[in-house]
Amino acid sequence: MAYTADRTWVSGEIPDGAMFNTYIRDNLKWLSTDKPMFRGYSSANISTGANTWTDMTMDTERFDNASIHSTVSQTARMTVPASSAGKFLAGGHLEWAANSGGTTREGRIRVNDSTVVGQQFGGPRSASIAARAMVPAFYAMAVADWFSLQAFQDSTTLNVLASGNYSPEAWCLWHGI
Amino acid sequence: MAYQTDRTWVSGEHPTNAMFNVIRDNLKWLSTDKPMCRVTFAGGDNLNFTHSAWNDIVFGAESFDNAAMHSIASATERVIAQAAGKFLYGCTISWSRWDSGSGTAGTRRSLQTLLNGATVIAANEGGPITDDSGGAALDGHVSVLTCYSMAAADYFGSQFQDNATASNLNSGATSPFGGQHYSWAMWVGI
Repeated sequence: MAYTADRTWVSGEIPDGAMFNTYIRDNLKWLSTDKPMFRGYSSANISTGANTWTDMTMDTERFDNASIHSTVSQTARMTVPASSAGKFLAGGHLEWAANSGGTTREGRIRVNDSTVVGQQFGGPRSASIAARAMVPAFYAMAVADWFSLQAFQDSTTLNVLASGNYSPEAWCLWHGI
Repeated sequence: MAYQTDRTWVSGEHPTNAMFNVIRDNLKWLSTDKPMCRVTFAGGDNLNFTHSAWNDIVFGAESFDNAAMHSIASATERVIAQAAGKFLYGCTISWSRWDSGSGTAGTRRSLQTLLNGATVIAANEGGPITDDSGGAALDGHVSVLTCYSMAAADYFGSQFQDNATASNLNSGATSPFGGQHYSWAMWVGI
């Protein structure tokens, strides 16, 4: 259930149970509990080719109250559910295997596989230290739009590591209409 | 007072003031009372740290804290979820520019955020790493932002690490953080 336009009450009317449930209970529930919120991750390393942006698929969910994500199909996507258009915060976390090659490690968040809405360089490039990056984004989303997190590096075939509770891991939440 | 279960209303009932006050309290929670804090470096904090090791970032002052999420007296590195729910958390720190006259600059300026001092839930790498011996250099900065599901009494904390060898990264009142390093958190949902 989405957020319903707030009612302008009229003097003399007698609000019934349905009005209270729609305009008060459900809207409060939306703001506290039901607004879409998701965080998920890949439980395994993801191999990335050099000079190629690679989708970070997620096979596990930490929380998902609105079927934003599927662990079966299009598992890189965080999709805006029905009736939930609005402004969304999103973020992604990446850690690459230690490797000194190449010149860059980058992460980015796209909308609908086309528009980049957040991008961040990572580092360091080192044979002994794993490179890390965190990408934030805030964007106005329509129903069925989706965010996805991608990783890039220009060394050689290199893993994005399944590390701690942060890599590769992404999240989003509805913040307002 | 935490967020209370929203009432399902029944046609024909006469709402009492107590019922309306639950609405009031829940609206207050969403607007005013949901836990929110921003904590900052204080001039008296200890700036010394160990290179090539993770160091807790401690916070000796608070810009705001409406729910006792942080203490300036004990465990000052912690930002505590006093209510269960999803929280946004962020942290920003700043290193001073490196002086080539002392030791080596190293290759990393790292920041990570832990849940309950044990599990890394966010990490990022900052920069640039520049030499101020010529008079023109930049401080290094790094931030993290994350969203995580917290139980009551769970806490966030952030750590930093560089692999420089000189102590000049933490010398002087404006280094390495210059009052710029801060952390914040807020409840965003159940």
